[in-house]
This record gives sequence, C-alpha cells and structure tokens, in this order.
Amino acid sequence: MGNFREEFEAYGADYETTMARFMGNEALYLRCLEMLFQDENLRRLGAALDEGDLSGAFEAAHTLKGVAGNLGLTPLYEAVCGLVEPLRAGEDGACLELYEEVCLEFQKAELFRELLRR
Amino acid sequence: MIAQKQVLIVEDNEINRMMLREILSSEYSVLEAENGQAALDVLKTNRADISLILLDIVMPVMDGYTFLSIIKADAVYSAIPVIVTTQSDRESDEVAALSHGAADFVAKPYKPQVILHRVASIIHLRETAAMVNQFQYDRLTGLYSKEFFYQRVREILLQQPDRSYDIICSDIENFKLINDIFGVPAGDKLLCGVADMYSELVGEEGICGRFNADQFACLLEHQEYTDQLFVQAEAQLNALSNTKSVVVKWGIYPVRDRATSVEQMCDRAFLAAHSIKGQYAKHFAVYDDNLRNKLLREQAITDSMEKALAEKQFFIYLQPKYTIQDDRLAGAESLVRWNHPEWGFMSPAEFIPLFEKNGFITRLDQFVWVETCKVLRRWLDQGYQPIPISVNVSRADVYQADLADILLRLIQKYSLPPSLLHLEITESAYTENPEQIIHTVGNLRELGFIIEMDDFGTGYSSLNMLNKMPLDVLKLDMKFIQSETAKPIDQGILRFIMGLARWMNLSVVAEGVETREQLERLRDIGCDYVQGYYFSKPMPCREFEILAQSLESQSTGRDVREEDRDDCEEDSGVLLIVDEDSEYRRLARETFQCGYRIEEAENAVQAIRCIVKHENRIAGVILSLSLREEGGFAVLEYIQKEKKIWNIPVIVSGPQDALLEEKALIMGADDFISRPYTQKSLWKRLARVRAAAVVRERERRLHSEAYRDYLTGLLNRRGLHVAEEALRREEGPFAVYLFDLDNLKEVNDKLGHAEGDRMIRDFGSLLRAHSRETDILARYGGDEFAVILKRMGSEEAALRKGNEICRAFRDNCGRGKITVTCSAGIVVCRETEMSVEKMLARADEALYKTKSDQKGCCCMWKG
Repeated sequence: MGNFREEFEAYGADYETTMARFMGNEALYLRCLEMLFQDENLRRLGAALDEGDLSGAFEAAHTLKGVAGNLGLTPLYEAVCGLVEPLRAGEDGACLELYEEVCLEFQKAELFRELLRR
Repeated sequence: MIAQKQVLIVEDNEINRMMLREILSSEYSVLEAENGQAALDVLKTNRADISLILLDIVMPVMDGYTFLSIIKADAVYSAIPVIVTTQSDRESDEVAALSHGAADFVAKPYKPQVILHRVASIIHLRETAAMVNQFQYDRLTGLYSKEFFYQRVREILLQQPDRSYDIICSDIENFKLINDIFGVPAGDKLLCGVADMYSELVGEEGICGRFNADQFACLLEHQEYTDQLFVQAEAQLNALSNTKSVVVKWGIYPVRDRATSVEQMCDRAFLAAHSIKGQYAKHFAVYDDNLRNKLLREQAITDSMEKALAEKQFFIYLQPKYTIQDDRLAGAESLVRWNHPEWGFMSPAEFIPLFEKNGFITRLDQFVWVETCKVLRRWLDQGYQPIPISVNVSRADVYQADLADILLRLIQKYSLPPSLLHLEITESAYTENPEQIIHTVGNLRELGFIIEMDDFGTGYSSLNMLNKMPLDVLKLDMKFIQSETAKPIDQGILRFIMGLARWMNLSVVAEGVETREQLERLRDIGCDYVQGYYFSKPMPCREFEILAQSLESQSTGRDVREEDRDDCEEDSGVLLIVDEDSEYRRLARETFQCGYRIEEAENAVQAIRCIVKHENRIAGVILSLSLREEGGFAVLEYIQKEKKIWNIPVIVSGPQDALLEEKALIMGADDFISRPYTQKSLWKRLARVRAAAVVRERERRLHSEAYRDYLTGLLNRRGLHVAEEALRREEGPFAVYLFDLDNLKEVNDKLGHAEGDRMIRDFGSLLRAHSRETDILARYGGDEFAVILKRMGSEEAALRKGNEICRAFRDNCGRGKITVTCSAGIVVCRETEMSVEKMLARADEALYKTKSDQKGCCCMWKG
C-alpha cells in the first residue's frame, strides 16, 4: 500500500480527520473507498439529470455527498455539495456543468485510490 | 459478564453501514437493516432487546420519517430511543427528525467519538427513566420496591453466573392484627425494624426489597441456615417494639435453575414461608421438591374434594368407646374416611387440616352428621340397643348462625332423640369469640344434645370460662398428655383434671389410649371412658355392628338376611367361600354379599391362590372339608402355617361327625358347622368368630406392648422379669449392671422434661449399641437401667465394658452446658441358681457405693 498520509495531502484530503473516522484502520478505509466505485449513485445521478428527474437527482447527489464526506474526499465532496443545493431548490440551470465537475472529481478520486493501492 | 446491548443501524448505503458498524461494534452488538421496512422486520424478531436505533432519513422503500412515525405509534417499540443521522448542512432536517420523535441526531461525516458518546448517553438516559418509572424504592422502608428488586435480581443473576444464590423472604404472622391492636404507626415502626434487619443481614453482598405490607425478600449468596439465625432476628425485632410477640416465618428458595423467572422464585420462597404458618418453633422452611410436591398434592386434594363428596367417596368409620370400669361398649365416635379412586385410602391427618383451612370442612362435617344419623336410625329400626355416637363440630361450624337449626332438622328427619348424637366441639373454638359460642352451644345443649369438649387441655381455657361453658363431657387426647403418663410419679395434672371434672359434674373420655400402662393409669385416677387403638381401631359400621352384637351376646332371633338388605355399602373385607357345591356357594354369597367382598373357590388350589392374593384383607373363610382332590384340611393347614394370616377366622363345614369336628378344631378351625346348615346359623357363627379374632389380636398387641418401656423401647420391669425366667445356664456367666443417670433431675429442671426424655432415649440407644442382641436391656425405673450381659467371663471384662458405656455417655450425650454422667454397679455371677432379683440387689449396693465415692464410673460388688 502507498503512503497514505502523503497521498492524502497530494490529493487534497485531511488524513487525520478522515482516518479518525476509520479508527486509524487504513485497510478498512481502502475497502470502503473501493465500494464507492461500485456504488450506483453517480450513474443514477447522471441518468436522472438526463431525464430531467430533479428529485431523483437530488436523492442520488445527497447520498453521494454523505459518502464522499465520510470518506474524507474533500475535492469530490465540495463538487457534490455544489450540485446538491440547486437540486434541493429545484433549479436545474447549471446542473449539467456541475455534474461534469463531479464526474471529473470522481475520476480524480479513482486515481487517488490507485495511488493508495500501490 | 454483561450481555452486550444491541444497536440497530438503519441505513441504505453500504459504505455508511460498514463504517457505523465498525464504530459501534467495539461496545455493542450491531444489527443492520437497509431500509425502514427491513428495520421493522428486524424489530419484530428482536422486540425489546434492542437498546437503540441509528436511523438514516433518505432511503428507498421506506424512508426514515415513515419508519419513525410507525414505531413511535407502537407501544411495544416506542420506548426504544432513535438517533437520526443527518447531513450537517440543514437545520431543518434536524428539527424534522426531532419532531418525529428522534431522541437525538448525529451529522455526517461521522465523528466516531461523538456517535459513541451520544449512543451511550441516550441508552443510559432511557434505562434510568424506565427504572424510575417502576418506583425504585419503597417509600416507608427505603428498600427496593418489588419490581425493582426483581429487576436487580435478574441483573445480578445474569452478571454472576458462577455464584449460587438464595432468595429469602419473610412474613410476619398476624401482621394486620398488630396494626389493629397497636396502631398503624407501631406497625410501620415494626416494618422499618424488619427493613433494618434485612439490610444488616445482607450487608454489602446482597440486595433486599419490600413487597407489600409485611412481605420482605432478599437475595443472598448461598449458605447453610440454622434456626439460630432466625431466632436471633426475631428476638431483635421483639426487642425494638412493644408488641413483644412478633412471630416471623422465613422461606428460602435456593436459586438453582436460572431459567425460572425471578417472580416465580420469590413466590416459591413465600410458599415455603407459608407452609410453616402457625407451626410453633418452626422458623424457616426451604422450598424443595418435597414442599413442591406437598403443595401440588394439596392442590390436587382441593381440586377433587367436591367431586369426592358428590361421588360418595367419603364414608364414616366408627371407633368404639368403652367404660373403663367394666369394659362395656358405651358409645362410638364417627370419623370420616376418604377412599379416593386413584389414591386409595387417604389419611384424615392429610385432608382434614386442609379442609379446615379452605372451609370445606363444614360441608364434610354435615355429611358425617347425616351418615351418623342414618346409622343410628338403622340401629333403632333393627331393634338394637342404641348407643350414642359422637360427631365432630368444627370451629367453622360453630360460627354458622343456623347450626342449631341444621342439627335439629337432622334429628327430626331421622326421628332421633338428640341425646344419641354427641357433639364434639374443640376447646380452641371457644377461645376466639367465647360469648357467641357459649350462647350457640348452650342452645344446642338445651335442645338435648350432649356436648363434649374435644382436645381438652390443648388450648387456653381459663377456669372461669370453663365454668361458664355448657358441657357434659371432657375429652382428653392422650397424645397431648403422653409425657404425663410416661412419668409414673407425677400424675398431678391428670388428677387435677379429674377432680375438676367431678366438681363440675362432667364425665371424662380419654382418647388415643394405646398402651396398657396408659389404661391402668387412667383407671387409677378414675377416668370414665376410654377410646383408642389399645381397644379398637375405627372400623366400618358393619364391623362395628358385629362387634356390638357379639359383646351384647344377645340373640335377636331375626332373619339376618332380611335386616341387611337395606344397606350394602360397607365393606368389611374379603369373605372367602370354599365349597365344591355351587349351591352352597350361591347361598353363602347371598347371605354375605352385603358387607363383604365375596370370593369363591371350589378346590384347595383355588382357595390358597385366593388367600395369597388377599392375605390379611380376608375377614373370614368358610371352608368345606369335603373338597375334591386335596380336601379342606390342606387349606386349613396352609392358613395355620402362614405367619401373616394365622389369625383369619375359619369356619369349616362337613357332615356331622364328632371325630372330624375334633380334628378340624385341633388343626386350628375356629368353628365347625355340620351340613346341612342354615344361613342364619352360619351368619351368627361368623359374627362370633370374627369378634373372637378381634379380641385375640388385641391380646397379642397387649402382650408385646405391656412388656416394653414406652420411652426407650427397652424392656420394662415386667418385661425384665419375663426375660430373666428365660435365661439358660449355658448362657452364663452373667454380668448384671445397674446404671443410674446422675443428672436427669438437673436436666429436667433446667431444660425441661422433653429434654430429659430425650436423654433417657439416648441412653437406651447407647445401651443397644454397646450390647449384643441376645443381651437383656431394661429400663428399671425413672433413671435406672438394668442390663444383663451374657457370657461375661471375668470381672475385668465386665468392668471394662461398664466404663466404656459410662465414657460413651459422658462424651456423646451432653446437654449443652450440662455435663451428663452415669454411674453403675456391677455384679458378675456364675451360679445360675441365684435369682436375678438378688443379683440386682447386689448391683444396687455397688451402685450406691459408686454414687457416694465417685459418680460417673463403675464399681464392682465386693461381698
């Protein structure tokens, strides 16, 4: 496994706070992180936006936000937060752009995972 | 080890669930559900065992709010606290969660320490609140309340699976009376005293609680209990209040099977305490299988009593009363018997006290009165000389306002003079409400009933009251004055009672007379009537009639068969009819089938088989001598040989033949009847031989009892005399000892006669242990024992043996602080011509010397 502390800092996450949530167990963290990429919520979010289903989109984004927060993925978390608020308010104006950003951050998070795995 | 509390996580996202599980599993056992619906299913199977729910709000299938609304509306689940997990971004979510009944919320992202603290504090808060709801403490005494005591016992038993515990509880006898007499404040003070005592008893180790009124309970580590502990506790209680006579009964339930509910454990401890209610000198009882079985049995009896009465399982037996001066049959007491279809004959000692407790006794008494009236009526109808029968009138009967009416209607219905029905009223019935009872009984007496006071001397009758009571007869139960008759010197109380009775113009009946000694003592002091096993057991009415007839020895000259048709209920036992002629058998069956169970046999083999089967249930045998094959003598021979049945009355029949008759009588037949015979003659002969058999049996008993010392079972002086006559020369040389217990008087004075009696018994056992079966042991007088040891070769050996006995007595039979010793005089005798009397006189001289020289050892007689 990679050096977690370094990789966290490089990625832009708070190692101390996040690992406290996982009782300092890095392997457990990695297991949970892997599960994010099997998670359906990003796909559901995209599909809902395509169909103009704002409340479905909100639910998916909301869950994603909670998970990203718990995993301490600060950049992804902030991107999702940017999307959740307009969705809650029922405004779909900037949504697609914001969604693009979330996807981009998702890829970065995947990269982060790869680095941790090494 | 404390079982872990359970927390249910309701969260749809697997990552979040995994994290929460990781955070909580260090402290709790964790259940999971992925939505509200799944959570409800989990609740249903685990019910109240879940201490807390962690709930996400946004979930598919059933969201968090819906789930909250459902469980908060359900009484079973509403007490389980719920913590909602929210995103920290919106205050409104939190408000919504709380308004739906959540106890608290935690924000995402999770902060493990915050979650653990909140979960722990919410669980604690709920548990405390639940206990406070159960009124944790008893307001008066400050002990735990019943519910909380249960709860704490459950916890302790769960936490300490390896220790063994007892539950002890107590009840104060007649506590309500104490409140009533001394006032509620005094009662409360007493209760606080009990509470203090309990706290002291359990110390730091156990817990105690007050249940209600005067019921207390505690949980203690298991130990062995002695009376002392409880006697002390009772003394302590009596010291602190002015009530002085507080009696506490304790019950102990040893906790063995922890699957039993705590409520049931406590119930059982209380049942144990109740089982000794009213029993003097019983301080505690342990709930065990015996007690459990006893209680179950009592329940079974209670359940079957109504049916028993309806199905005529009860019937009466009569026990004869005789005049003491001339042995005349003077009356009878009517006693109830119960033959249960499954349990057989039940002991009245078992069911009567129970019926007295549950009130059924009044119904049963009335049944006995009716049956007794029927018997009296039958006697009058049949022209017998009627003799009075006494019936019991229980304490509960006396309180019935219409008692006099009931009895009066009864004797009117059967047209009986009231003087034939004697009413036995127990002395203790008079003590509770004397005025009312004296009035009621006075009424009955004016109506002509004869009033007997039962169990006289067992209650607390004051002389003044006795004088006011309307009475005709005093009835003494030998059971209660046995120790009196066992002491030949001191008959003071008996004499006093007799004097009292004479002065009040009462006659005296002694019941429970079992030995000849008792009888003679009673005769000596001028008692009027006696009743007891020494004379006759209670017997079926039919048997009683046979006895009465034989004693009267008057022939009524009436056709027996006719007069017995009207009542076929009694069973006097089995009557065996052995005859090769079926016509004779048929006639005899008709004659006797009322009153007997008839068995028939046509040859010797069948007859013997039948005898083996019924043994001493056989009331009589009617035997034809002309049986085919082995003939009747084979049967006669068999009966004579068998120890158990030799006393069965046998009437043989045969052709008129003086030689045959003589042979039959020599071989043990009780009577001979020549063929052809009439049934009437047969009936009379059977009645006569049966009465003779009763007398024979009585003499046999008398014989053995008359020679035995009542207290020790050793020979008495008379027995010693008979035994010495049987001594044979070849059994010598003999060592004759005379032992004397040095401290009997001191023990009697300081510890009471019961203790003195025990000491005498102990010495008897000790002698038995130190002698051979063929040696002769006798209680010679109050504290003197004569012993003849056979084949005692030398004086040294005899002295050694004597000292051995003295030492054993000193070492083993001490009475608390009193050291007991015995002294002995010994004489060894080779000359068989010398009488035992003379030897005893010498031993007595030696004993006298021992006592003046050196008490507590033996001394050999020196010419």
